Amino acid sequence: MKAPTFTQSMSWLHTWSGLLFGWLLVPIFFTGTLAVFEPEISHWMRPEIRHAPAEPARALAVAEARLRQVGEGAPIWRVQMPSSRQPAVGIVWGNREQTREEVLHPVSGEVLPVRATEGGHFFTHFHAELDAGKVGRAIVCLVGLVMLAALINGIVVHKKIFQDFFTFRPQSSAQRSWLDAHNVLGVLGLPFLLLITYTGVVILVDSYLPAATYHFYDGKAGGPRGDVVRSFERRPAGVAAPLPSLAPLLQEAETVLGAGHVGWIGIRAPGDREATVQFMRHLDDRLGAVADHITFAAVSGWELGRQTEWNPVAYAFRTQVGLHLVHFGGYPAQWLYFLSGLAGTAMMAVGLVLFTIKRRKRPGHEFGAATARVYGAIESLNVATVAGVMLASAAFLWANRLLPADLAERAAWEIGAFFAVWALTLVHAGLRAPGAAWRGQLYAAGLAWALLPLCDVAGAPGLLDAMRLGVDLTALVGGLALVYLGWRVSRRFAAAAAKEAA
Amino acid sequence: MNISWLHAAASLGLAYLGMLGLCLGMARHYRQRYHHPLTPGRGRVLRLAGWSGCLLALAPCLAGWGAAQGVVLWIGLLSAAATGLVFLLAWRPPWCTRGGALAALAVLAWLGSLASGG
Repeated sequence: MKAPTFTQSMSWLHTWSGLLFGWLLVPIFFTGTLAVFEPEISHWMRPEIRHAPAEPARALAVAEARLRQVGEGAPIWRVQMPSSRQPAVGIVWGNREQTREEVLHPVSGEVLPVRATEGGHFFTHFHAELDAGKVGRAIVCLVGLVMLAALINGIVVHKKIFQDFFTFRPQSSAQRSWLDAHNVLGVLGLPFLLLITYTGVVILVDSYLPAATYHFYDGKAGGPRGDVVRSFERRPAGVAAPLPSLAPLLQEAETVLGAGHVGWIGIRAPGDREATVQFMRHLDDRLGAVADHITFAAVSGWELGRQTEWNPVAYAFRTQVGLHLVHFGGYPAQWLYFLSGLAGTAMMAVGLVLFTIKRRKRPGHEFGAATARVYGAIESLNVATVAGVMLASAAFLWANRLLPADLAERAAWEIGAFFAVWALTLVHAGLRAPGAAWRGQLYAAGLAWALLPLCDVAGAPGLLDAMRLGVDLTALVGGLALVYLGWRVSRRFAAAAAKEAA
Repeated sequence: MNISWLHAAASLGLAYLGMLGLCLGMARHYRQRYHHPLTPGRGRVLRLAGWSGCLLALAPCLAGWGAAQGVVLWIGLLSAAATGLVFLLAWRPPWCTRGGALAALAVLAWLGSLASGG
C-alpha cells in the first residue's frame, strides 16, 4: 500500500479530529457566541430591573446608604456601579468565606426583588469550563488546541483558498454545496476564527502547564497576577473609627480614572481606623483588559497608591485577553463578534454534517461490521450537539420565566433545565431516524427561540426596555432562521428519500 | 443613534464595495452575475477598485475607534462583508450589485456627517 501524501494525512486528521472534537466545539463556540452578550442576557433574566439613567454620585450614595444599614461589621464591601449594559447598582458584603448581595435601583435606592439566577454568566461559564470545574477546563484546553490545529490543517486540505474565495454553489449536489459552505465560512471567517481560538488558548495558558507557576508561587492561585496588580490594602488596626462619606473620594478617583469610568468600588474594613477604599476603572473603552485603580485611606482621604501605567508584558497579555472578551468597541464590535461567532458555529456544524453526508453516499467501512451502527450514533451526536444545544440554551431562558420566583435553589434549576433538555435531545436523536431528528430538533429550537419574546412578555411584568427588547428581537430572528433551516433540511431529506424510492 | 454605528456602516460599505470589486474581477463570478465574459481591462479595473475599497474601509474604523481597536474591527468587517456578498451572489446574483448601491449610500452618509463636522 502506498504511503498517504501529506495532504491526505492532513485530511484524515481534519476529518476525525473535527468530528470527535466538533461535538464539544459546537456547544463551546455557540455558548461563547451568546456570552458576547452576557450583560444583556443577565439583564433579560432579571426583569425586575428597569433601565434607568444613572449618575455615578447618586448610585454610590444609594449603595453606601444601604451598605451602612446591612453591612455593619462585614470586613468587605463591594459596589458595582451601573453602566449602559448593566443598569442597576450591585452591592456585596461579607467576609472571605461568605458574602451576600443585593441589587438596588440606581436613583431611588430601592432594593429590587430580583429572582435568583446565574444569568448570562452561565453561558460564559459553560464556554470556559463546561460547568465541570477543573476537569471541564482541562477539556476546553484540549479542545482549543485541537481547534487551532484543525484551522491550520483545514487550510492545507482546502488548497484552493484564493480561487474559491467567493465560491458557494448551493444548487450543486448536497456534498458539494455543504463543502462549499464549510469552506467559504471557514476561509472568510479565518481571521476571526484564528484570533478567537488563539486568544482563547492564551487565556488558559496557565492551565496547560501549571507546574512552573505552582512551584514559583508556592501553589497560590493567581500568583503571577499578584505580581502585576498591586494591592494598597492595609491591615485593620482593630480601632474603631467612623467611615466618612465616600462621595469626595469618588470625585477624586474620577479625576484620575475619568468621569463615569469607575466600574467597581471595594471597601476594606469599613468602620476601622485603617479602612481603605479602592476604585477600579471599567474596561469597556480599551483593547487591553487592564483595570486602572486607585486606593484611598477612607478616614483621612489620603491616596495610598494607584496603578494607571502597566508593565508592557501585562499590556501584551491582557490585550490578547481583551481581544477575546470584546468588552471594547461598543455594540458595533460586539455585534461583529456575535455574528462572526454564529458563522463559526455554522461552519463547524456544517463540517459535522459533511462527515455523514459523504458517508451516506459512499460508506467508508471504518468500523467493520459495526459501521452502520456507528454512523447512526455519529448522526445522533451531530443532531444533539448542534440543534440540541441550541434548544437547551433556549430552555435555560424559558426556565428563567417559568420557574417560580421563590423556588429554593432556583438558579441551579435553570441550569438543570439546560442539561435536562440537552440530555433529552440526545435521547430523541438516538431514537429517531436522522431526517426526523434534524427536522424535529431544528423546529423545536427555532420555535423555542422565536417564541422567547412571548415568554418574556407573559412571564415578566412591566414594560420592555431597550436591552430586553434587543434580546427578544435577536431571539425571534435567530429562531425564524432555525425554523427555515429545519424546513430546508426536511425538504432535502424528503427529496433524497423520493430519489431512493424511485 | 450612536455615531459609532455610522462609522461601522461606512466601513462595512467600503469593505463590501471592495470585496464586490475583487469578486467581479474574477472571470467565474463576473459571468455568474452578468452572463457574459470579463474583458482583461475591465478585470484589472475591478480588482484595483476592489483592493482600494478594502484598504479605504480602514479609514472609518480609524476615525471611530483609533488604531488599536480600529484595525480589529476593520478585519472583522472585511470578513463580514465578504460573507454577505458570497450568499447574495449564490442565491440572488443581481442583488449583489444592488447591495453595492446600498453600501455606497452608507459611505456617502458617513462622508456627509464628516463634512457637517459630526
